[in-house]
Amino acid sequence: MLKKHALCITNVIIFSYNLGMLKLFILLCLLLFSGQANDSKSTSIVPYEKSIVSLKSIEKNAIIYGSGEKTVYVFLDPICPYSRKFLSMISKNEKMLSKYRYCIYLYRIPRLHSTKFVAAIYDSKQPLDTLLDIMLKDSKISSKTNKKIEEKIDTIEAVAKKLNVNKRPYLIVQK
Amino acid sequence: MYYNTPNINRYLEKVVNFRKPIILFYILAAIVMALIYKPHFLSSDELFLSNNSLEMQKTNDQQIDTYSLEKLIVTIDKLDDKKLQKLKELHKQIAQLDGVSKVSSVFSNDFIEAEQDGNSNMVVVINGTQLDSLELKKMVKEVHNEYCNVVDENFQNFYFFISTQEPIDVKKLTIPGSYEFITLNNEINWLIIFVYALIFIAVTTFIFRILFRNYLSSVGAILIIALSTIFTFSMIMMLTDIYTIHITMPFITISITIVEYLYFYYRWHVSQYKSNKLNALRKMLNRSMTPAMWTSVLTVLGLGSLVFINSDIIKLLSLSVIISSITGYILNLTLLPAFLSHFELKHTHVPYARLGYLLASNELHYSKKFLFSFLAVTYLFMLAGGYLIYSKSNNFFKLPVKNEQIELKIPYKEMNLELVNSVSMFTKDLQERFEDELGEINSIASIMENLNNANTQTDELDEEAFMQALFYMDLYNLSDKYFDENTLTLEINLFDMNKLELLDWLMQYEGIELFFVDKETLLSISKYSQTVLLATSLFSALIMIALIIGWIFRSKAMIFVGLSVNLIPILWFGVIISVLSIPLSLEMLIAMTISLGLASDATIHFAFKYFRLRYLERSQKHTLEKMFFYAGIPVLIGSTVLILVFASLYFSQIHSLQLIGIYSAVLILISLLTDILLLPVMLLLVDHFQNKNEKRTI
Repeated sequence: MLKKHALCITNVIIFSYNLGMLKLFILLCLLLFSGQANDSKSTSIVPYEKSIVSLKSIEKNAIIYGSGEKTVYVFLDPICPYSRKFLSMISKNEKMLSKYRYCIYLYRIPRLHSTKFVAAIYDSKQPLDTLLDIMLKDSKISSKTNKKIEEKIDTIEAVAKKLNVNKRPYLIVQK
Repeated sequence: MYYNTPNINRYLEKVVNFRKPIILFYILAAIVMALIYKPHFLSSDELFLSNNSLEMQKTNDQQIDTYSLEKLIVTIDKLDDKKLQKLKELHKQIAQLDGVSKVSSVFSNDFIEAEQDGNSNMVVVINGTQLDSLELKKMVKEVHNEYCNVVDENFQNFYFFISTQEPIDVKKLTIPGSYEFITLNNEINWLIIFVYALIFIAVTTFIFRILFRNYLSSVGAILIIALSTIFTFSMIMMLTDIYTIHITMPFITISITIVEYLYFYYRWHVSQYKSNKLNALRKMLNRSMTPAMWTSVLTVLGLGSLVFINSDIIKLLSLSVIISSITGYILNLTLLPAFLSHFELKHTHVPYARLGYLLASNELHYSKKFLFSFLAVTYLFMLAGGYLIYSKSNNFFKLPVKNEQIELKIPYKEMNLELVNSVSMFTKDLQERFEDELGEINSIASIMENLNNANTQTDELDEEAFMQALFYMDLYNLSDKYFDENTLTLEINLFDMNKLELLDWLMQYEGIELFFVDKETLLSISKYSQTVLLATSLFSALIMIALIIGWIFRSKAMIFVGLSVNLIPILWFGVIISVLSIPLSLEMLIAMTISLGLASDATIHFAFKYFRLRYLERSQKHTLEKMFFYAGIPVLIGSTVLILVFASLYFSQIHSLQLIGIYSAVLILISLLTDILLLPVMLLLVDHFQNKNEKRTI
């Protein structure tokens, strides 16, 4: 990354002789902005212990998977490819299911429009099975939301926003 | 003393009368001994060194397993998908071999990155086996910045570091391209040993045939050497219970016995001028038995104290010299006259003895200035060497390595962030100290740092990031690679450095408790500490030998002569290996022991002859000529044979033999030059008969 920046800055300096100081200033601003954008790690602003307390408070809304001693709180979107990859990896790994207990919270990525899938999972009698069917077998199940489901989604969303959950899958592993 | 001529007439009569029973007795005794005491020969110094290794003991006390870390280098012309597939299969084959616990190669390398698709992203670990040739090249260049310890920058040399409990037979593997296998477990190739035994016999026979114009001299030499070697090692096994002998140790007995034999045989050979056949035997015994006895006394007293040091190597080395000197002496005194009494020689002229006259006339007018300058430089080197060996920042012993790996274990009670931070601090300290001499350092700290860097959810490695990194390690099956229930594993890749400097630093590091687990490293540490012990032992032996020489000749000046002549070959050899940065090895120590044995023998024989003739009021010139004729020529012939045989060992395929060959050839050459160029001059310098004879003349 440093090498890339150094190269970019050198190029900009050479280029600046042709474009003049104003253009150079604009380019530098863009460069710095893009560098920040690449490097930035949007970490949670809530301290770790407080995050765990918040997550525990909504545990009744979680879909529990695995039987291990260590709890992993995980925010997934049923349509998100990396959420699917994550779930696929842990479902195939016996050790990961026996060592960890996953509290899965469904938290939508807006651009993926996954509300109907989230609703179908929460609406089903066996949410875990439905979750696995949708995410691992790509089953086409959909359902309309109701007030109860929306309340659940909102509760999870409130905690997710508080914790600055900006990607899926988003993990917090309890000590 | 040198002025007495022992009366051995009755003894000789008895030996000649019982010559056949004597010969038979020795041959039968040797056969019985060889059948009862069968040594186990080794070509690696692993066992000798590990028996006395404190670091090995420390690691074993922690119940941490040790293993060999062997290196296979596979060279291919060009990397393409087909070759890559074969290399992947090779990695798999090695990992499946019995006793192999781990294989580090480009295919065990895990490349960590963050896969991203808008708000959807995840830490991904890609193993080397999942990539095709183009992807692999790209990944290695990106991650390792054009340098990687498991593959070179041209993707032609692939390195496989194999942790194994059992010896590996690489011939069973399907290896694409050419390869080099570097291992501790060298099996002895007896065919090569047999070929070299034949070479030794051929060289001895050839040289002796040219010089003595007969085959008798070589038959006698081989008989005495064979019996002396059998008796020496049988007695060592009898006395010490050490049954493991290094393959190169018989060279100590061969070297010492052949030169001792030549003092006796040569005297017999040149004393054939009288009609009485027994006269030559009488001359051989009464002229050679006293100095030869003193050489045995010298080795027993000089090296005797080393036998009590708690080190198998030092015991074996010192006992080899002591017992071969004693058995050689007894055989030359009993078996040799019994054997030679059967023969009479016709052509006994030795034209090459003129070389002695040439040396004598030149050395008589030596330059004192040059002699003192040379000695001053030598003793300055000795002081510098002593300072370098014993000072705290030891930089005399070097072990240069390129692209190697060492493995450490760190015991822990609880896996937590504090532990990872302490490993991280250790890594930082190590990198700051050795900078670009080191390659990658793989540990729980490095993998967590990489996982955390790829994890967009966390920033610095805090409690939350630590838990997530641990989770990802489990998810990608990386945990077993970096820690088990009780210990963390740490791999240090050495790029181009002096390994001993690193080991010294690691042993002194206080921030974290470290244990060495790979046998190569444990042996390097043991070798280093035992070499310091052996250097001390050799130096104390030198002092003892010098004092005894002073006592034998009743001259304080001879202490200085004895010390200088014995010290010079070892010291100048030390200077050469230090300048060339050649790592110290057991073979080097054996070569030094041979040199010490030969140099001390030569000192006694030369000085004995010199002082005897000076006592008999011969002039310095005449004395030097006679000394060269009777003592110098045997040393010259013996050393030439040994140099040729040892030099030929360099062309063998056994690494241990190559080393002993080249080191001994160089050391014997320096020793020979010291004996014929310096020793006579120093004898002239300390000649206390000079003043007495001058007074008598007046």
